Amino acid sequence: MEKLTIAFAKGRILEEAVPLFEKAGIPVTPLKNPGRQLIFDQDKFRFMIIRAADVPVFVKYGAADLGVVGKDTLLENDFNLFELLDLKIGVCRISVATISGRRIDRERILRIATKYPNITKNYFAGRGKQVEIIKLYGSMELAPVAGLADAIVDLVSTGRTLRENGLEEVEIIEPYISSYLVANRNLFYVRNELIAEVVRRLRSVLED
Amino acid sequence: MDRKYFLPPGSREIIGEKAGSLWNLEKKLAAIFEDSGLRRIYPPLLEYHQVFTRGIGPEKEKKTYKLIDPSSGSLLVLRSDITPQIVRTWWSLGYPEDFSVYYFERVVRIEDQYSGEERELFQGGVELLNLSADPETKLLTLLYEILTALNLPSPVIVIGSSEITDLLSESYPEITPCLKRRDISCVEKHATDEFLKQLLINPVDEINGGIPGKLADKVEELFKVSEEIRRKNGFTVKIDPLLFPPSSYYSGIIFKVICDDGSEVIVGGRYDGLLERFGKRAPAAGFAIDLITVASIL
Repeated sequence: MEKLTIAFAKGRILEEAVPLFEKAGIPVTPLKNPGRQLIFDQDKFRFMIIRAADVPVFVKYGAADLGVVGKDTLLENDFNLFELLDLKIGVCRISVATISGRRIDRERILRIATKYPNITKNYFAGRGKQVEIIKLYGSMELAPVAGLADAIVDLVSTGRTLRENGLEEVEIIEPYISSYLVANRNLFYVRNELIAEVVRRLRSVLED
Repeated sequence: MDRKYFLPPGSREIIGEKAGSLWNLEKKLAAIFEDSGLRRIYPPLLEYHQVFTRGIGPEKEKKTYKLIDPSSGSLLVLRSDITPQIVRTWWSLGYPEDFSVYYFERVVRIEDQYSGEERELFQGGVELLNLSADPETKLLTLLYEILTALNLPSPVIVIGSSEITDLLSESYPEITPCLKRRDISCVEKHATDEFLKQLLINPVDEINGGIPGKLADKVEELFKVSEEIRRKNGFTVKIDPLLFPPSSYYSGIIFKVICDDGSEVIVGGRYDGLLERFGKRAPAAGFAIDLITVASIL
């Protein structure tokens, strides 16, 4: 039988997912020290390590049956996946931050730097506020400091990175972001037995 | 190399052997449809925008190409769905009885560049409008005939009903989005009903009990339909009370056929409600086949 393919978002999510999957008896041991390898076959499973933003794309097109990815990525673009289970890992929030002590001038159109243009647009539009969005791919914190933007919209977990770069959190957009187990909407039915088994095992670990 | 003669993203042309297998598939399907007494229809490429605002939900409307008729200033659309067109035809003919037609047409939809989505889809389909007999029975009979004739690799038929999802949305309005996403964690936070949690993970293979009143009756009806499919044809059927309709115009049984690689090859169901939007509620059902995907599998 074809292997059940699970795509993991690399970085912090992968690091926190490995112990969870291991406790659930899913053989993710090779993911502990992956080196440069991105794909691993183990028993009935195939594991892939992918950039977070690409995980939903692999799952959407059936290149992976399941994925582990942050809710932030799922909120930013609707990939029409089943979001089966909150894995309660990679917990953080999405916030607006600006240079500490700076008063945001509400009279003019703000420039916001972010890697989440849709979340940002919807949040400010919901408050009747027009903003100009600059899409960046990393090191958001630099944008206000370097004068590229008035504020940023980014993930915050402890707030340490913000503080160390002279920024402060001024508004919280999404107070709870965590990683989800997601499934392809059609493969969910085709491979239901194995997927249901993975969900059951993860749930029992999460309930402990 | 001069780049100016490339195709726009999401467009395609079909030539040679692939065109041959597409043509053979259409002939094969047409023979089945003709034998069942359906008549061929060629709907127009352009329609007035209001046919589509009436006929499809806002999500699909957003994906529809619009253009302004230079002679009148009216808003026109390049068709993004055939079903509303057929219902419009039925309206223009004065609501005839037993209006059963089939088509092989292309529709176009707006998709993001680099999304990997095709903008032009090749669809074959049947639409059964205002039948004197039950349209579901006829539609499912056609479906089995097609599946038998095509011999697709281990097709899975997923069946649900918009009557069930409507009931669920009424009973659990606050968690409807979670049910659509099959988000177990979210449902658990807001509802204690054990049957809901079961349904989220496993589409039912048997009734486990615990499904309340009216909902249970509807699920029971689905079981009867699926038993018949299993008994007659031996196809794999999954009953999924949480199968939400892909378009807002469905009102009754809905289904999709999936191949073992996850490709969705047929989608359809009952849509009496769409006819009502065009002035007269009457029994109607239909399905569309993704011709390119099917031709590439065969």
